[in-house]
Amino acid sequence: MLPDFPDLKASLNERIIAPRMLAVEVSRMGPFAESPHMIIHEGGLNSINQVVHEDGSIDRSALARVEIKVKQDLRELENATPEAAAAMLDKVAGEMGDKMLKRNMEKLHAILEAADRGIDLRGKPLTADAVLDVWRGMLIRFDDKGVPQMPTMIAHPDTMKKLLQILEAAKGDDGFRRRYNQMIQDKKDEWHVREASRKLVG
Amino acid sequence: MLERLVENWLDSANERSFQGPFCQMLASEGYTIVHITRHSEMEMGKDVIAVAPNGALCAYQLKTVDGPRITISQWRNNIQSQVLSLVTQQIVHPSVAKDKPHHSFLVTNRDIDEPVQRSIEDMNLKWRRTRPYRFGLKTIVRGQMLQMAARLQSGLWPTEPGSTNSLLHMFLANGRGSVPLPRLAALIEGTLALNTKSRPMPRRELKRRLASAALLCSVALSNYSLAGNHVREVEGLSMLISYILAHAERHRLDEDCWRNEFNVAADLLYDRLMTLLQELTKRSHLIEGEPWSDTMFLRARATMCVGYMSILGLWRTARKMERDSTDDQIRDFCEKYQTKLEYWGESATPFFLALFWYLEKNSGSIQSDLLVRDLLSTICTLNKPGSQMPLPTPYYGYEEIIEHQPVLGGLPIRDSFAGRSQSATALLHLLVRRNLKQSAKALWPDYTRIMHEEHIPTPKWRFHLWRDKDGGINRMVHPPLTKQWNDLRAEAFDEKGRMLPRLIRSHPVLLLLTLCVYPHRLTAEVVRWLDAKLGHAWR
Repeated sequence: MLPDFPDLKASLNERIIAPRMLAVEVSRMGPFAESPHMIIHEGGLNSINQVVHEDGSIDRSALARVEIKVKQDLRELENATPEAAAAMLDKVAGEMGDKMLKRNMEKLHAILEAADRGIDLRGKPLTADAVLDVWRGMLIRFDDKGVPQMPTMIAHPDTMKKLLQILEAAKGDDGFRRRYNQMIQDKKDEWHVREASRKLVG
Repeated sequence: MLERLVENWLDSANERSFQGPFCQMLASEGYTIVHITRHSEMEMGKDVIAVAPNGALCAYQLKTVDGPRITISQWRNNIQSQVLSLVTQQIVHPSVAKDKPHHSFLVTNRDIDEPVQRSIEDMNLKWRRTRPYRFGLKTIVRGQMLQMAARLQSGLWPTEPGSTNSLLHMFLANGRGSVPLPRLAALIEGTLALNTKSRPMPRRELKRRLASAALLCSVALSNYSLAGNHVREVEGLSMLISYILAHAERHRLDEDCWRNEFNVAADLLYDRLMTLLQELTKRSHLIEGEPWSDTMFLRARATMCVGYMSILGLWRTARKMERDSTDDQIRDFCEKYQTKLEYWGESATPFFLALFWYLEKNSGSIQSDLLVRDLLSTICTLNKPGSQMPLPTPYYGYEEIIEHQPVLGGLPIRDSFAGRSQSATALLHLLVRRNLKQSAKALWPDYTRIMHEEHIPTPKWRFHLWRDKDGGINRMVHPPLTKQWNDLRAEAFDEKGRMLPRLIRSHPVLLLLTLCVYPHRLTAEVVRWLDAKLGHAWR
């Protein structure tokens, strides 16, 4: 073999390459970028994940493998500058992020479908009040200072653009503002009731 | 290469470091070890007492000297008087019939000079005429020990490069640092072929694999033994015990296939804990090695030592040993250092639980209850969602956590710990089992904000593996916001310990030791079962 530098490369990987790839991957995961990054130390692909919810219901699922196959011409890599090599890795990480996003969206969709949480506008145009209705049906958390932690909105870029325009326009509508503030107040009351219910009784 | 390695090990070993492997070799030949000394003044010339497969009682004195052979002057000055005690003093041990004559062996990793051999022959001539000592003195020298080791080999020693690499790595370690537990696990798993899904192995092969693993583990730990690194030896032996039980459970072995190796490892473990106590009693401080940077590590060292000493105290109680100065020494040490502990992450929980049960049995104050309450409060506070300094899960040991500290130039661990815990439910159940209702009520809101996790290995024997990499259940529980006290009590008093394999259930103290090495096996179910065995719950 030719001289190799495995320890140095491992260190470079740990300190530079892996964090960079992870950052690129996460940046492509849209709303899921904010999810905690948890390592599963045991079980692997053959294990069963069991999530017990607050209401006692149990979800069971298996881990799914998400992978991309990369075919790299090493002659090309030999002639690449470090920047070009980094760009190749960014591309790989980006593709991985896209795949994770797609997989998570499919999973989210399936969960919402199963829970019958879809809202059908029945052909009516998208309005600010329709968004308000969606929020009314959701749990909204408040931080220690009472500031609402509004849910993340996910939509096709065109729809999102339209949605933001609608919401921006609704800001000037006194009636909508009143309904919005009432919704927030109701949600805050709900949140306080929920938080106050964290107790051992008896 | 392995033959050379064993030779090398034997040549560099001292009495302490070849004691373990020698006992494992005896066990593999069907001997039942009834006593292993802790090298104190009480040994009366007998380091090891064993019963041979034919029922003969055997006593062994282990000796090593400088140089390749025991010379006549070494014999006269250092060994002869001990050999006299070995042969002529009766064995007094609860497992041995009184007045039963015994066979005496001088065991050395050296050769014996001719004048020494002649001296032994002369002594034997005299002894043969005296009935109680008629068996005289026999010797087991370097070459015979190598033969004993070779009998175990027969192609059963690790052949995978990974296992051999692990063995060499540990064999070449200076023994002052920590045992690389993943490597030790790989070595034992490779030797036992635990993960092989091929044809069932004959019982004889399974037994020999176990004997080989026990011997290899002892050889791998020998430098830690040479360095007097008792805590690391305890860790290694705890892992060995765990794997012996894994092997026995997985293959449903009869007790006679594994009991000897298990007993030897357990006796050595007890012996090492006693030796650690002796050292702790003699020391006026806990500083170890290079002193100036040591202050950073003092509290963690104190935590481990207090945890292991608490376990020793609990073990002595479980063995129904008469209370003596040893128990006072344990109590004094734990009292002195119990306020100097460090909770570095959830991998420290087993050490604190050991102290909890020890204090409960020995102090009679509310200290133990406060300890559990404060631990739970710490986890609920530090691990709440969004926390900036959460405690790592039990999969991260002390050194791994410290290595990642920015002050040491480490990178942050790429695992999120905020909003998660593996120990909190176990601690909450302990509070409930002590009827500390007000404390439980006060901590409940924060407890419900955390997701509670555990891994349940399946099949059960995989509980004993360092990592259960193939299967099992990863359970994540979001507690209900409101809960009835009585419902929580019912959960907290479920003591069936369903996830525990069968054999470890006879050894709660060893299970607690295992948890110190495998903190990721600490679940609420395991802790409740242990509490039923070691604690005093309020019914």
